[in-house]
Amino acid sequence: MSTTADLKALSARPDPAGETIAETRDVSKAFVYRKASLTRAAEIFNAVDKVSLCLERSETLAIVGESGCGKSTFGRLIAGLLPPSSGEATFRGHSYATLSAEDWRASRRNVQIIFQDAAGSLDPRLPVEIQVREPLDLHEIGSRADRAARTREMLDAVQLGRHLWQAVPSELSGGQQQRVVIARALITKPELVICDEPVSALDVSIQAQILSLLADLKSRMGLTLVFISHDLAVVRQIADRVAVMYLGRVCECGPAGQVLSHPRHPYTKALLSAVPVPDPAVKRTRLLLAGDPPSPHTPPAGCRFHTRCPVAVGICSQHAPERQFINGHEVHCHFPENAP
Amino acid sequence: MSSPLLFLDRLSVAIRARSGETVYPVRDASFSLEKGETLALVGESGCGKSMTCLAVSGLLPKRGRIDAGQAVLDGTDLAGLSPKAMRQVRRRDIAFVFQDATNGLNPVKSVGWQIAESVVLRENVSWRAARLRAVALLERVGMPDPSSRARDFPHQLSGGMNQRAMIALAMAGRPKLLIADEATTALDVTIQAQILALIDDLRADYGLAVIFVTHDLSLVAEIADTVVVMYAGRVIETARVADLYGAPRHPYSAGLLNSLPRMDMKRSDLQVIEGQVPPINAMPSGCAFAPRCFRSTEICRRQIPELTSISQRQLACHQPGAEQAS
Amino acid sequence: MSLTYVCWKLLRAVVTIWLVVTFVFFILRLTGDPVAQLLPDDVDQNTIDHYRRLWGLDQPILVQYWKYITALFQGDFGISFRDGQDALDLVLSRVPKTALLGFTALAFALVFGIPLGVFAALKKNTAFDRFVMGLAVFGFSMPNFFLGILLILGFSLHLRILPSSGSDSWQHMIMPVVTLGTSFGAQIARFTRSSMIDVLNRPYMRTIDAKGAGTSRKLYLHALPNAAIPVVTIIGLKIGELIGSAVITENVFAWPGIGRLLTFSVATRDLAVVQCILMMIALTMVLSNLLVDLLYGWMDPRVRVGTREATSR
Repeated sequence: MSTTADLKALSARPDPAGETIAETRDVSKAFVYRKASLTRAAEIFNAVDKVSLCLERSETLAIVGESGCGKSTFGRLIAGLLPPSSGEATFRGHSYATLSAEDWRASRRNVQIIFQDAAGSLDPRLPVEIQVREPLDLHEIGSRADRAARTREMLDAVQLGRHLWQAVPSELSGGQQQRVVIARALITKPELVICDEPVSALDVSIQAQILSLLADLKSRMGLTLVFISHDLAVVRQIADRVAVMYLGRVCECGPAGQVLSHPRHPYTKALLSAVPVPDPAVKRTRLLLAGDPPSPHTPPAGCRFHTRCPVAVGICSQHAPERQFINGHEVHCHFPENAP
Repeated sequence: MSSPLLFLDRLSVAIRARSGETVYPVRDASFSLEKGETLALVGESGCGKSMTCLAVSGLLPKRGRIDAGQAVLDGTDLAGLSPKAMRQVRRRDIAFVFQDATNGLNPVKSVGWQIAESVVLRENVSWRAARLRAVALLERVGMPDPSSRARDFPHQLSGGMNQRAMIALAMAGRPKLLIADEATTALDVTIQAQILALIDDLRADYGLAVIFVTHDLSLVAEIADTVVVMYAGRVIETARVADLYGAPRHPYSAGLLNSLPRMDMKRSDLQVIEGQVPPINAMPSGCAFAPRCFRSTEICRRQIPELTSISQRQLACHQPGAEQAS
Repeated sequence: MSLTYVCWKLLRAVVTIWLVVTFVFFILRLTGDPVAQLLPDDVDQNTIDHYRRLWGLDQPILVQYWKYITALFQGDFGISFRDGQDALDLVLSRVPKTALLGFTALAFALVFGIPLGVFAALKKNTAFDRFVMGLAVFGFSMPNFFLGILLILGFSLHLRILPSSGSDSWQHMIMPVVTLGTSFGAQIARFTRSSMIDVLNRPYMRTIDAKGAGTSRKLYLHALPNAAIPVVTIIGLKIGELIGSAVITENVFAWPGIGRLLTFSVATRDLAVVQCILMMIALTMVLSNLLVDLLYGWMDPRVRVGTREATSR
């Protein structure tokens, strides 16, 4: 374990919890899925459809949902990596759209993103130490010696053995590559880190190593994390708050304990019941959802979940449900579970 | 007591690498499986679980071969069969369901055609009859609108529907043993639940024996009767599912279970197995897990532990954990 | 394969042909005077002017161009300056010979290229594979005319078993076909091999093994239809090269086809004939590309039928 001096250097930031660090207001992102031709206009769909979420400093917000629900697109919107088609995404109170070029560059330093495919996001020919230092070189932070020192500190913090610092990515295992990616993302001391399925490609014992590393770095550096995942069991371990997405919209958002233990939205309930529990003694009646999710390109009208929802009635296919709060926990459903 | 449907006795697989050296991805694997039973073969990537199944069905890569041991299916030693006889076994007795069905089906043939082909390979029926059987099979696996889906190509169907088609294809040969190799790994969790329910339903209906190859220990607890844990090419623990999850005795099994994130409880800190699996061409001389094991002693580093039967389970460990959970 | 798609293709084809015609029209007129090329050196100026007027060469070039284009729309390709024959008739009379040579060479290339490519893929990294691929590199890196001359030296002059020029019997065809088809066949062999290796490593091939299919079923019913898709594309793209090589080959072997007519007509500035031939070549290429597109859609259902959500709309 690294020395306490290292830790101090990494965590020299005040920790005013409760302050909003990033926010989205009715943010949407449209993509073209069929190009225009002579006879027809381009067909577009909203990968993210009017999502409003607020992110508090030092929390871990998990965004969960199945493939095609728009969670990764939403992550990029929060990070300011994609311009929204409508609505706005703000970081520390400023909309990304209105930032000057210089401020935008600064925001790149403060918002980092970590992807699932560690190997793909590293340069296959460069030694990892150089790659971890690169953001400092790009942003010209500190003197040469400072940068080198900080790189070593960071590589120690992610617990990458010193004998591997000069290795190229192909010489590292998947878990070690993900450590390098984390070190590179955190070296500029960002405030907000978006992790897009960071452990999905890893074996379970390595997955646990990376999860506890992330949790550890988060508390030491006072990071705010957005954790995008399809794996609810992983989310359970790391999240403070959970937002569940389905076909581009949020179904339910609230404290992790509440959402995952007392889901209000029928989709969340079905999703949770589908997650296997590693205990043969626990026998559950499983709520099987019929059919496949509709294509995100042609979402159903009204509540997007109504085609598979066990409790849907007429109104659900006509009107999208309004947001409502139950015990401080946001639900988008005409008939939410109201039991305490 | 009748003999099991399938038993492996000290099966080893050798692969000749390009460099000329021979590596052993599977060493002395033993386990057995009854009719109608679901056995889960678990372990992390590279532990030899898939390779074991490929060896049993004669699908090893060109440079691979069964080096020693037996794999006996219904009284026949598969290790001794010719490639041609092995093909007959695959047509009739052993069927596979692979991960990622969308890429596992031929993109230029309709799914109905591909299922009908399996029917024709299995028994001497007309192509017309085979196409009808294909539709019936698609219906059996819960494909909506099976007769028109049979004419669809894999790229027109969703991942879940393709996985159903793949299962229909596997069932076309009326197999005795179904090997599901990470069959639900690529699917979303709600679709995974559907597919698992389907496989279990087929097992119950046809008295199918199922080998579930997976890295997902949470899933195993729900579907399997017996669990075989593999590490670095060897079976290290075999037990009934309740016994294993109640009290894993091999330190690696215990470590795996403790590092598993769980839905039903939040762990203050996930336990972590430090280090990594040793590379296949540089196995330690003793127990392969010894370098990562907190209980390892001098004998662990010197001598490979034998797989031995201890009170209803099989265990390969010099320093096993307690029989009951403390 | 929608109607819009076919319309687009046709529109592009027409534009391509128009560009070719226009380009050739101006280049030929800017690079030499046909009258001076055709008439003997010692004719007087009056005769020259007479022919100029007769062929319309005394008018401004844009007027000539306009007349040419309007005539084209009426199916009039002009006349050959050399003997006053209709240019289109002259060219069409040569088409069968060239078509015979071209299709035979294509067949030769496919018959050797595809099986060699398939077997090289199956025997990947063996001596057989290396031998075939070595041969292929040799085959397509050797210039066409050079191979032709080598064959003439060997089989006509030295062994005296094959005729070196003309088109009277099937023996006359052997050397031109080999000359024209070798490089094409070599390239097809290489593409077939790499496409086949790629397909054999796809996950669905394992499914086919797992269902207990025999080797030939696996190869011919499953692997080849997939591997052929990119090969067909390549063949379509290379048709142009084949036509270019045909011009050279016909000249080497004095094969009385379009290629020989083309070189002769360019040398004598026989404008109408040259333009007619080039239009014909452009048309052939456009048609063969269109054919390949259709074939491609027929072979690959991912092109032919969209995804379900797209078709249901």
